[in-house]
Amino acid sequence: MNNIYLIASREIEFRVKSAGFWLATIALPLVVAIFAIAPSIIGYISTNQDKQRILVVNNSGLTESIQSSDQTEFVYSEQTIDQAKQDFQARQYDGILHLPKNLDNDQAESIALYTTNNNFQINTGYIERELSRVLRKNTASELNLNESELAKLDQQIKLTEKNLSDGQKTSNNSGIGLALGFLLGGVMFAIIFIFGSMIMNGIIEEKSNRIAEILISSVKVTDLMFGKILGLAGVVFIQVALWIGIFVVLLGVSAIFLTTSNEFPDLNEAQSSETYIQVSSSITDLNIGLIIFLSAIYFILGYLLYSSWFAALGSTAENAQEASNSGLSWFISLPLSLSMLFLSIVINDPESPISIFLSLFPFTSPVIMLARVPLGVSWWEIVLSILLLVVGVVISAWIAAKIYRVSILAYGKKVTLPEIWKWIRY
Amino acid sequence: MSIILSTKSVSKKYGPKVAVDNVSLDIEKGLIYGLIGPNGAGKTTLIRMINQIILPDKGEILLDNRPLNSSDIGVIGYMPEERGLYPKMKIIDQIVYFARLKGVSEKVAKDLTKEWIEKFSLSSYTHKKAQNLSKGMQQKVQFICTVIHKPRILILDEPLSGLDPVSAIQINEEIQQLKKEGVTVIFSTHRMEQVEQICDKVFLINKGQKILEGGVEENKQKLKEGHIKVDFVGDASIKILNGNFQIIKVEKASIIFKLNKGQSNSQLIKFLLDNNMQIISFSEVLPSLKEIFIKLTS
Repeated sequence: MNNIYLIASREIEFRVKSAGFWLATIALPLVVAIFAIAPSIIGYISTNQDKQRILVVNNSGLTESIQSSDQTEFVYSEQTIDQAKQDFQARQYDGILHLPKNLDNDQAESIALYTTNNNFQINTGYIERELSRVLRKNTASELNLNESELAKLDQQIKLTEKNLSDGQKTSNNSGIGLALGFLLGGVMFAIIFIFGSMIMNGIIEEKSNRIAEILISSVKVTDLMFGKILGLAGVVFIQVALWIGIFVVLLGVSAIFLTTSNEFPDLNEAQSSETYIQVSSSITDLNIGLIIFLSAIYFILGYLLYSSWFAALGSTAENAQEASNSGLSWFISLPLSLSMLFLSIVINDPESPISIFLSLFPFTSPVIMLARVPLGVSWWEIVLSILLLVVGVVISAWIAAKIYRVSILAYGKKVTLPEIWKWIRY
Repeated sequence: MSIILSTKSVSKKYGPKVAVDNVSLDIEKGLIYGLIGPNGAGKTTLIRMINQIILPDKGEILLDNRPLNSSDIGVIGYMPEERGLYPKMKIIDQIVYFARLKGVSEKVAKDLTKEWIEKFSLSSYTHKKAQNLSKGMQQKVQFICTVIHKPRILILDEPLSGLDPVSAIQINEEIQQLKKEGVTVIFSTHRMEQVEQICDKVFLINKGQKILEGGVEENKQKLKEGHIKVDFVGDASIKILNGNFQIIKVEKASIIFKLNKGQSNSQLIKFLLDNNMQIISFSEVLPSLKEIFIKLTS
């Protein structure tokens, strides 16, 4: 046990001190940040620049005026549109909003915003929302409708989904559940491959540098293998914790930008808050605690299952290319690739026999069951799947140790699947 | 002397190939043993079985007259022929790590590492990575890693290969020092002159079987072939060259004779004197270990 700790500690210390670890730790959130947060920052920057000034040429006869805001100033002009266009540069407006004659809701498309080609920072979202409000109010007054009557017309339909078999209300989480299912399945797949490959490469390094023989004359083969697997698990834990920390910080920064740039969202307020309520209620409907708990279980067991096989694969090869050409490599890749291939099928029909089979089969369950969990899975399936996965982990570790013991000292010969089968029985 | 390690009819097969066939060895405490044999003879398999890297199919290995088990790992220090260090790990960290794997506490491991590093004049390299050291330096580090936990049995596979003469002498001296401290050494090599120089006893393995054992001198006596070297002044007469005594080798001032059945030293001396040879020295030629090796394995 002490040796497992020593090997795992060395693995953690060595990898965490490496430049590659910190590069990966910083690079991933940075890339995500660039794609996810950059728009809000750009929005913030653009909205925090000088207030945009829009000249309004109102030929429509609309009496309700368009309201200025902190970031957008509407200046009404008495000029014709042609005169306004001529004065545009001299008066340093960002755009001219033209409301043509006889404007009603049917002709809303005839409203134009004139800008220069290079003025791409104009925030049209607020202008559109204000115009919608003005036109809506105008229509209401034409039809003699008061606000509450208008609200009735705007009523949005919200369907309640009920289960066909028991008539109970199903959780209102299909969209979020689907997204979460894909996300969890995908992350599981990525973690298994990335960190499994790290274990494999670590063992290849020990084999090709001939350290393996010294190590296994000092410690039990199983101690060495599990020390490496657990050490890498520690590295995964530290890296994921750092990623979460960085993401929390980035989200905080992003939230500051988002709240400051209150004009940025293009959705109108009603729609935006509706979506927010829908998303948040869907998330509340999901059993987040259960999802986190099961994610942890499947991540740990899935990692242990595949890392044993990656360790065995590493022990059969003297370099990464040899490992990728090995029959054992296909044996590992196939169920993982199938998991990803079937992910969308499973998510679209989580109760189909193939979905149930793949979420019970230990080599596919870490990805498939995790993807199904947010969509709702019966308890017996989860319990059975975890039990089968535990059995799979134990058997895999036992077989991997057998392969490792023989192959780690076998040099200069191509390892075939029949040969590995012989070692397992040996 | 007491037996520290013995193999009792140990055998190991890889598929149809018999790597070690019914080998029994008794290794006495505090001696240096040469384990010699041609490539593929089974030496490495035997060493790996003693190190518990692989298990014998048949027979058993005893340490202090009881079966060897996994808790005895710290008793043995093993330096395989194919050396291995973590290329990107600092020298000091590697030595401490290997010591700790053998059960040495962190503090003691650090103290011992410092001691050995000074002994081998490696102080300026302690914080360098192994990949930045020369092969000879790496070999010294490897030797330290092997002996740092003060093993009672040291198994060295080609420990002097690739070393410059000064480093080889330094390692050799350390081996002798360890012997004085009571450490038993098993020394596997192809270099017979090293075995003759360093080892007290030898085991010769061929095709998985032990074909020779015992003291180096004892075996030379046992396997001598009646060769006599005669140094002389002047020329050897034709009568001597064409006489009844078989000549193995003729040099400018010496001849090596072979005494055949029924011939004695006295008869040869009388024959040489009768033929007016001015003898300076007359000595028995013992076979070298290399000659014994070639004779027994070819």
